[in-house]
Amino acid sequence: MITKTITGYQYITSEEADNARLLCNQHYGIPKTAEDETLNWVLPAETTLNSPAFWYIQWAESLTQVFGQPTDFEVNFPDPIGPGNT
Amino acid sequence: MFTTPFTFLKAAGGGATLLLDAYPGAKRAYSVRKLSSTYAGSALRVRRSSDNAEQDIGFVGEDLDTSALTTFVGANNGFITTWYDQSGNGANATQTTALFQPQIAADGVIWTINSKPTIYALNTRSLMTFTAFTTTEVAQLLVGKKKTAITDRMTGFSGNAVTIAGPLLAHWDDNNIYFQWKNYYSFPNSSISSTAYEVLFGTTITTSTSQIWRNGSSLALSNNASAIADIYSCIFAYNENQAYYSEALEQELVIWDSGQSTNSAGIQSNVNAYYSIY
Repeated sequence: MITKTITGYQYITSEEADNARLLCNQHYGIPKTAEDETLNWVLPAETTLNSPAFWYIQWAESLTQVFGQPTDFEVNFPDPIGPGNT
Repeated sequence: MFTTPFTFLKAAGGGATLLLDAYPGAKRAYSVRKLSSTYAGSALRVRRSSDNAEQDIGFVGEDLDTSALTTFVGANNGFITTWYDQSGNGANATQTTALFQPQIAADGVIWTINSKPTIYALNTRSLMTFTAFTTTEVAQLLVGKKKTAITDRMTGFSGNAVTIAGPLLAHWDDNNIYFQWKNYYSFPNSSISSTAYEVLFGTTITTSTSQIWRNGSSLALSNNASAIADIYSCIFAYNENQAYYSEALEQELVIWDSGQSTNSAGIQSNVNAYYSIY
């Protein structure tokens, strides 16, 4: 397991995270039509190795005007397996 | 440079022979050029940054319709929502989340290599997925270049393995060119420290041996029998969700579920005749 410091937005429950997703979609007008492929501006991720688990959105410039200034927090990830390794 | 009879064959309409007309049977085929005379669909679906409207962009002859693309995008950025599958299997590569979509134009300027349009897979976020498949034989074609630095990655087809290695064709950040497939992976003995334009082609030879080609030349390999998750499900990233993303300009990704070793020279020659890589 590795721990990374993530800059972004943190949510305690899945409902809070989903509300954040919907707020961002509303801000950017996504999806624009029923025929469009783009369904979301951003998707929250769930931590799998943090206890207790939480949801988060990694910062991108376009998110500041929706969610405000981001914060730093730590997320645990499985050890990544690169090419040539098993 | 390899030359084959296929280089000189002409398709109806006067253009060069389309890749999949000469080498049919692809499982997935994504490109900025037309690959098959029987394919009648679009090349890409593009989202523009100004209002998030989307539009399909097709071909003019065998080329991407860059006039339609420029008209649609205007002075804005253009992102790929769908890279249409030209193999006939209808397995389009898609990305439904805006922040994870690769780019085709920045500030109204189409990304290009050698004046040919290209897709820019942005490190840390670009990923496209398609209907997954497994295979015991495979041949992978990847055309493009690392974006800027030799520590960038250029990745073709990969999968959704998390706990063990997955399938792959890539020019990696350690400069090795990896070709991994069911129960095996291979890589050159000597790394290639380069950000140059390249065509990579990996193919199974037998059930336990493989071969990698770069710009028409075969590379010396190290082969290692290992447990590999043999499912293919994505492009631009190694193993979905493992944070190994491409930082690359990529123009063509084709995968066959059969070894194409006897066609390796012809396939690379067909690519080079269009893109002028080497």
